[in-house]
Amino acid sequence: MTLTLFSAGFCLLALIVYCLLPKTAKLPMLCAASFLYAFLLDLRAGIALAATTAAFYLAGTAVTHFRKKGMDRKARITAGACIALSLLVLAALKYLPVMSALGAKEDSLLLRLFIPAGFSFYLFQAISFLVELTRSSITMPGPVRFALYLSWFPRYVSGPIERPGAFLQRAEEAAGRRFRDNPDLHEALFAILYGVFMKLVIADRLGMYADTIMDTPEAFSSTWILLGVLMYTFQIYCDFAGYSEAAAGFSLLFGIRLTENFSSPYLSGNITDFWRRWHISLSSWLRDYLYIPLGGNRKGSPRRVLNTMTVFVACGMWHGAGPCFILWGALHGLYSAIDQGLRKLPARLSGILRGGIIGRILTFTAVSFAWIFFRCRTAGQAVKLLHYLFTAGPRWHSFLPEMEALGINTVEYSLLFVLLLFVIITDAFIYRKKESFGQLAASLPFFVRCLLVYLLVTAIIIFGIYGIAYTGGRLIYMQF
Amino acid sequence: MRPVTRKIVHIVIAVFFVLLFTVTYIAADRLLCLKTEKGIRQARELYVQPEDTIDVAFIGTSHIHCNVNTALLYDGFGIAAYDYSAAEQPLWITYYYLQELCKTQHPQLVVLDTFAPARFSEDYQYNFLLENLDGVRPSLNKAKMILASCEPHRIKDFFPSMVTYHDRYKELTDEDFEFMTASAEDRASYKGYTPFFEVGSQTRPDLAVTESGGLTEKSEKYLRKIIDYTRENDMELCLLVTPYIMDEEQAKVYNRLHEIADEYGIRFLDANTAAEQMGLNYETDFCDYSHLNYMGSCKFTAWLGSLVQSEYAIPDRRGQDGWESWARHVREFDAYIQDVIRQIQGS
Repeated sequence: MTLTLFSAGFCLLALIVYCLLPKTAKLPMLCAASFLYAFLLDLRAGIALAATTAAFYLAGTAVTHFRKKGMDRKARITAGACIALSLLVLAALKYLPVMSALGAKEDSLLLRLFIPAGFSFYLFQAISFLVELTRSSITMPGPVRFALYLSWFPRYVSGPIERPGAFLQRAEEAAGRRFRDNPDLHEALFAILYGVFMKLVIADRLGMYADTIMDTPEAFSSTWILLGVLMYTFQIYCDFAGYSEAAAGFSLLFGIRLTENFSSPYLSGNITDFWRRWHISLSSWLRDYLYIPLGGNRKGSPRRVLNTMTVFVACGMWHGAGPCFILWGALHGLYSAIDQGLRKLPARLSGILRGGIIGRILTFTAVSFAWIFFRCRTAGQAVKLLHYLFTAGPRWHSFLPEMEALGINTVEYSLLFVLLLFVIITDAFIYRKKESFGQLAASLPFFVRCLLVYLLVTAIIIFGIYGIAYTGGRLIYMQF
Repeated sequence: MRPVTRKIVHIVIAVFFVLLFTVTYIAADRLLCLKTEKGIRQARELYVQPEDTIDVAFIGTSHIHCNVNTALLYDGFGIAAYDYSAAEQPLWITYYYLQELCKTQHPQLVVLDTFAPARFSEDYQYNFLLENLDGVRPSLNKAKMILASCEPHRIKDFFPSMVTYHDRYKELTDEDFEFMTASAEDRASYKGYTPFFEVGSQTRPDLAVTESGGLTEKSEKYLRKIIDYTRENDMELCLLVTPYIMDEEQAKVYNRLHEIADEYGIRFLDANTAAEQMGLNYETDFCDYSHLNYMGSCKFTAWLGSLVQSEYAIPDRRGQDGWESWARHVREFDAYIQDVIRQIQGS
């Protein structure tokens, strides 16, 4: 769901109704609320969600029927055809508008195509469902439970991408429990607060400056362009991780635990570890439904490299239609291939380059560099930024004037430093304790918990980027 | 610790943090709030005026707080007046401002500046909405004011007020910190008057418009509500047009307003027709096409004060107990003007 007052109000209303209903009505109510949310967000998005749900439910019913009759081949063909068709639709919606913009008329239908909000995310969930059903890992759920699985509103817009078996089991358990018996309410509260804090206070703030620098690199020194890239690196993390944290918190209010999506990714010692910590639900989906079916690492090193590259290019294409997204994906494919090679080095050298401080610095630098292509929508923009990054020179004498031109005064500079330090230290704790922020905070002494709530709420109110002066509020990952 | 004791300790801690948050919010609000004199300060300092001391309330747009010299009105005529106005204030906000005023004051005379309905025809005006809303304290009256001024999807941009100035931590000045500790008595000497000192030469328009019209439905509705409200609360009302460079379309609206005033037997005062009488010089007495400068406002106020004194039985409050804040206002304003003159002469 989006992080807006409307969404928070909707969630609160849904929670009140949910608490008042008997156990048997809870899941149907959540399903209805989720579809209502989608329709209220955007009528076309709601229609797309309903159509996708119906199509995949029918396909699932057919698959189940064929399997019962012993017609496994027909079951696989049905699932395959449904998946192929849906991926074709996804590709068409992503790529046709971009390709046709090159020569189409202004009023062309192709240019008016759009991807419904959340489509990329729940489509992958639907594919996951059909594959698991075909493999007999799960049984066919009822229509309401299936619809809830696809539409669950806290994760509707930007994931995480849930797996059917685990999600439905958690949903059933939650429905059987009274609200006051929910042991995760404190964790939910802290997850929501921290997620909103990361998004409104840090991500949107960094975004203001990163946008200016990366859109007009010619006006800045290499120093500030580099800082701009670093700002974007933290912006995209705090934006997406903040959203995921808040979504997890809202879902936990209903007792439904979502898949962890981020786990201190910028503290990873190597790129393989990074992809086990960044957008975990997507990377694990690609691993299970693309990398492993392609052969994974079971067919020798050259094939492994090819499979890895295929997965990352597909990952880039999933994010967007432009060449920069493909380049970003290919870059990560290259990083992974290099990482595979580094594993074969002597243990001590491999340990230094793939772990510890050096490994972390190398990984962070590589990831930050790749983000340049992710941020720049066109190749020309990326080339321009790289050109000025490497040729503009440090220009230390203009450091302060450029900072002033960005609107960063001493107070703002100090605030940025404190905020980033807080995120890094918090991530370090999360990395060490292997628990989410919500879980860590909920286990603190009561006084410290109250202090944390007080500090987070005060920080959001005073330092949050909201109000008529700002046009922000949009989640970066909502556009995928 | 026993469970019951633990529960009590937790409640005490929770209450402590709720109180701490409340105090923090109030302090942050006071520190960060806007202190501009385009309406916010005028509205805010109304609340620290001694109760039932304002005899004449001037309400409306910046044509009031730029042109009506409250220090001159008190010093020259003994009139305890307050400029309770804000930039481009539409009549629907003026209506709720009037009700806000009457919570603590009961002026004998209300003078309503009619520039807004003549100049603006939109039903929702956002340019200076911030300046109109931020100085008013939260209340049911303010809620109605917001609902009348804002389309539903824009309300979140203006309510609560903290939304509009929470990010001022980057630009705090000495004035912001002084405001945190300023006493009500110190603040009460402010009466809303905020003159301009620039000079912008103007040409007096030569208009002879007899048609009437152009007054929007919403403006007319709220004008009639203002008239009814003043009658219900035993206040005399006078409609005013301050000196400025109007055009033909605005003149038509004023004609319509004049018709409505006549309907109710209310005085309609167009100061533009008395420019010679007040000795107004269009080359030196204007700041811009819409506002008089300090010199012009003194001439206008002298003319207005004389008229109010002769036509309405407003008591002379000079030297009276309870009206010390006006005497202080005169002294402080005189010192301010001397300071401005020194700065101008120095440059």
